[in-house]
This record gives sequence, structure tokens and C-alpha cells, in this order.
Amino acid sequence: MLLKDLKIDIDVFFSHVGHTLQNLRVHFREKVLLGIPTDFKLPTVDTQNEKTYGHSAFWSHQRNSP
Amino acid sequence: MATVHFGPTNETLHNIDSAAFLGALLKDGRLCFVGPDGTIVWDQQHVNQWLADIHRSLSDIYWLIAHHHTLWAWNRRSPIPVGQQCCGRRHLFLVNEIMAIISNYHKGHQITGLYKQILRLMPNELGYILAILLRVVRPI
Repeated sequence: MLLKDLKIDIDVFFSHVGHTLQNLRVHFREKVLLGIPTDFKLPTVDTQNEKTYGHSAFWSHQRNSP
Repeated sequence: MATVHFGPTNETLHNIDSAAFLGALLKDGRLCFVGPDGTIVWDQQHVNQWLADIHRSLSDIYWLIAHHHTLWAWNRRSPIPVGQQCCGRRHLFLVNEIMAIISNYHKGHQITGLYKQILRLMPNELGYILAILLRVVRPI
């Protein structure tokens, strides 16, 4: 099926993405976190419990680490 | 989407991030507070609005990820099981501190007998927001 005269303005599309991201930032900070700061940091290791969930795709070299 | 068993009250998993956020919510008092008998009392009306706001954030995250060329194919097939599952493998991983989704690609499986794994990295900021949502906010 051909979409006749279909045009996508990439600038407009990217602009929508940028606005959505900006709105998400504000909405998440104000409405979800209620302005409460978190010092959450992404962990540097995969914490998958390999006994129950199987081998992790990553960090296998750390399996013997404490 | 639920992150079952990963709540701040589950002592075995030491979700200190979510516990700290719950403590801040109790101090804030808009959503909940500690009642006279020591239990947490929730303001149901505000909680419902809060859950709606969480849902909107998640919808925006999905949309942004999909338009970042990472999930366009997968979105056609099935919902994204981003929550920790009670059984079965996870689909969300951390790769060098970048959130990633790994899914199986089944085409060709009947001939080769192999499932291929597809790694899709998320944009950093989106991955970070999603991680906070899953680890800090949603367990509450």
C-alpha cells in the first residue's frame, strides 16, 4: 500500500519528541516524585539472582565475587 | 506493572532507595502519614491521582523509547514486561550502567533451533527515569 503524498517533517517530529521529554522531566519530578529529591544511582553491577532467574547475561565474570 | 516483593517493607531485599522515598512521603504528608496506632494512612483520593500520574509517566517513557528506534519492532508484538516477574527471566538489564532490554527473536527458530537475543539500549535519561520508577516509586 502506498501512502500518496505522505510527508514527514523530521524537524517537527524531533520537536515533538523534545517537548515530550521535557514534559516528562517536569511531570516526573513534580507529580510522581512530588519534588522529593532522590539520591538513587544506577547500580554498577547486575543484581540478578542467578539461582532463581538463571545466569545473568552480564557480569558473569563477577559470579565468584563476594 | 508491579514490582512485586521489592517493596520498602521487604527487609530481605534491602530496598533502601524505596524505603527512603517512603520515609520522605510520610514526612511530606500529602499522600500518607503515620496514624496514631503507628500504621500508614493513605489519602485515597491523592493516591489515585498519583497512580494516574505514574501511569502517564510510564506512557511517555514507552513512547519516547519507541521513537528512539529501540523498540519499534517489539511494540508490535507484546507488552514490555519491565517489572520484576515472580517467575521467568527478566527483560531489563543494566549494561555498563545503561538500561537495556533484551528480548528473544524467534524467526528462523524452526530451522535453526536457535533463539537470537536482541539487545536494545535505552537513552540514558529515559533509562534513569524508568529505573527510578521501578526501583524507588513503584514498589510503594
